[in-house]
Amino acid sequence: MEPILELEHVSYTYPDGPKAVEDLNVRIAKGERAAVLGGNGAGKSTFFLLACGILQPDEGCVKCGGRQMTQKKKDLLEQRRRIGVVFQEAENQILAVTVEAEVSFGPMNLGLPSAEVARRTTGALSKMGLQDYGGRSPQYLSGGEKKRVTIADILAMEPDVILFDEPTASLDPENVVRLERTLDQLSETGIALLVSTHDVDFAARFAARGLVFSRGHLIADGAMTKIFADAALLAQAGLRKPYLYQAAEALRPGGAAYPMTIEQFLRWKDAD
Amino acid sequence: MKRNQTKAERWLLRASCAAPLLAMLCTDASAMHIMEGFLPQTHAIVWGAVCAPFIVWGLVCIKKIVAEHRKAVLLLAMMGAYAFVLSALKMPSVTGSSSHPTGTGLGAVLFGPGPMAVLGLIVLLFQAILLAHGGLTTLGANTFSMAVAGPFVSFGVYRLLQKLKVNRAVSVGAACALGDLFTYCVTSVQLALAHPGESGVMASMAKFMGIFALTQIPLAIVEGILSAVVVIMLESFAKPELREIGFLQKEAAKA
Amino acid sequence: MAHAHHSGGVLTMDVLAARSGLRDVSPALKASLSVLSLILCVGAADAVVGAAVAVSMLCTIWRLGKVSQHRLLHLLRLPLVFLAVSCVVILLEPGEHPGSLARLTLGDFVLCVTQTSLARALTLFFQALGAVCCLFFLSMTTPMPQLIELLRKCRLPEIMIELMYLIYRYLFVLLQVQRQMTESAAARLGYNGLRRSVSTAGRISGALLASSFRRSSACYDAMLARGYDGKLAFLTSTPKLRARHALPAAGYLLLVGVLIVFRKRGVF
Repeated sequence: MEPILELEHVSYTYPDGPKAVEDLNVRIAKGERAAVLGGNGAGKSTFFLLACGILQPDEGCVKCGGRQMTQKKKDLLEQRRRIGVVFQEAENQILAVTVEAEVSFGPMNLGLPSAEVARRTTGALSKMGLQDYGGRSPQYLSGGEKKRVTIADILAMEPDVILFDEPTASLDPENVVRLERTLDQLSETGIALLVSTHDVDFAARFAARGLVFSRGHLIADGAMTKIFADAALLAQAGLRKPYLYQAAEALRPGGAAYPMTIEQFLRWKDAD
Repeated sequence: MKRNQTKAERWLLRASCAAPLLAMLCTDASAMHIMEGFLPQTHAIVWGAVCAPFIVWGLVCIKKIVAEHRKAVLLLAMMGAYAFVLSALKMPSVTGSSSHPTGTGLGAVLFGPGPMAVLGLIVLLFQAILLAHGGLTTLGANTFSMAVAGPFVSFGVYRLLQKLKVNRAVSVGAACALGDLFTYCVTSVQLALAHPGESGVMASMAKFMGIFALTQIPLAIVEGILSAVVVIMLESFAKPELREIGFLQKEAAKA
Repeated sequence: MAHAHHSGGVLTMDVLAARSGLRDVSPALKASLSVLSLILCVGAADAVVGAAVAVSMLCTIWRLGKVSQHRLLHLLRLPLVFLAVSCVVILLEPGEHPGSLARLTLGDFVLCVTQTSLARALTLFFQALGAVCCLFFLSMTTPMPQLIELLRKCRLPEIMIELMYLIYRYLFVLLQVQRQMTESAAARLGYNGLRRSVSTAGRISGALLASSFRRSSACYDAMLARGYDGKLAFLTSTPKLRARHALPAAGYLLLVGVLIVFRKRGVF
């Protein structure tokens, strides 16, 4: 089964800075869920921009559905359709003056006929619970609503992979819960999801697979349980263990693996 | 007829003339937008026709810039939004009321006078509709004074001072202040041409210039200082963007 | 519903337009009515016509546009002051004039009020008042996005339409950032005294422009990520023109025209 997204030996340096990412190798399969962890400036955002074709790698290549992506217009459009990015700041992503126009922007750029654009727009809006928001102006929406609009934006393009750049950064707890539910719903429809975050507790709840970045390198790619058990790795990446993990470790030190989510914790607590 | 009026009536008439003048000093002083409905139709049309070629030229400049750098559209839009926000910003002024700067001078220095004509037109349209500042019939006249005449002078003065190797922030400050002053003169001329009264155009112009000098001259000075500070900050915090724009300016100058 | 960020009352017109009772009327009709009334009002150059247009427009905004009287009068306040001031300037004629109604002497300068200047000032006052109310009608019933779409249909150059859309979108972002910066500076006593206020305001303006230029990079990336290729295209739904709106509008313009003719012929 071809990976839906693949980066092979990708390196990139910003025009006026040091190397942003070096020798990246990542494979994402259809419908997969992964959390992308790492401190600021570790290379997470650069990785996302390379994946969706906004940045072109200096070395290596990006493959989409097995095919290498070039700079040709057709390829770029294909890449951007299949790999969507929800940016951290909703204000930077929203550019239209009504919600309906905003969500229709992606499909319009894909050159689809108006009827299809309308269908996708309505579909994306209802998936995000924004059916009645069509005529409203984005500037008068709350933070959580704006976030939902930015997600609807990407859904309207019917992508195979969605990359979320620090989605919980500006959301209140109620909206974080809503977001987690939304991510579950999206996952069920078969879209692969990559979420970059500082919040290791959220990451542990979200996915079983973690990609850890540190100073432009991908220093770990595998099961979360293995990642959090490796103290040296965590120190290098500047990450802490999830709180439940730490609590469990304190209760029964010296174990091989510890729970990271509340369900796991409750099972673990009753076992043995 | 004057003899039939009592002293009290004359005093009342004089006082009632002075009161609005005082009110003007105490209210917000904005750059001189001519109010909606203030220009007779022929004048409205003529000023519109006068600024049309500049707008067309500005569009050509912008198209050329954007063809080379698609991202320029966003930078220009930010500049336009900034000019609008500045005009809605309250700045303290000497008379105790607030001033509203324009930002069109700064835009001309950064992007060139051509693009600024178009951006200025859009900002003036938005101000008319969103803030009831200026008007639709006076759009032509206001565009000429605030988006064409002023920015041209600002750009010219800036270039001249740069050639004379004057410090950049000072050049920008002087350019913007002089641009504002020129705008105010042009507006006075526009008003005098439309309302010469019985004393003729020249006397009318002197009258308008004299009265509005109270607010416009301090405003021009404050805007000059403001623009200078903005440029200093841009040089500290937005060097890469300035470099991009510097390139854009060369494109505009070529057009 | 969660509380949204506000622009601090700067953009009241925009908020009113979004909530207007007339927002489902064709924007082409609203714009035509407003602009044609404006042209008639200014063209007539008559105080009675101006006053009639002003009153009728205000009533329409109040009744059909569903804007409260209180709000309407509050918004009229500033234009009225500007208008009054400007008309006083028209009122005063420089130099000596025989038979003048009043004189104002300021040092060497003499300003007089004459019969003609008084008549002219009054006409201008009501003419401009009528015009402002026509503009208010447009501002308070038609949201900017509808107007921009209308201008696009009028074949305005595409680049200008794009700039309008983007400027409208970003001015809200900038207003919010500016407000936050100002509040933060005020909390740190940045506005004590004239000199400090000017310096602080200058710094905020500079930081605002710098941050907005930096933001444009991020916005551009986001646009690219959704396949932006040089043309800004959206799907929009515009209210259609309906006869039950168009006929009263045409009737109104006809009435104003008749009034103008009567005034010109000296009927009243």
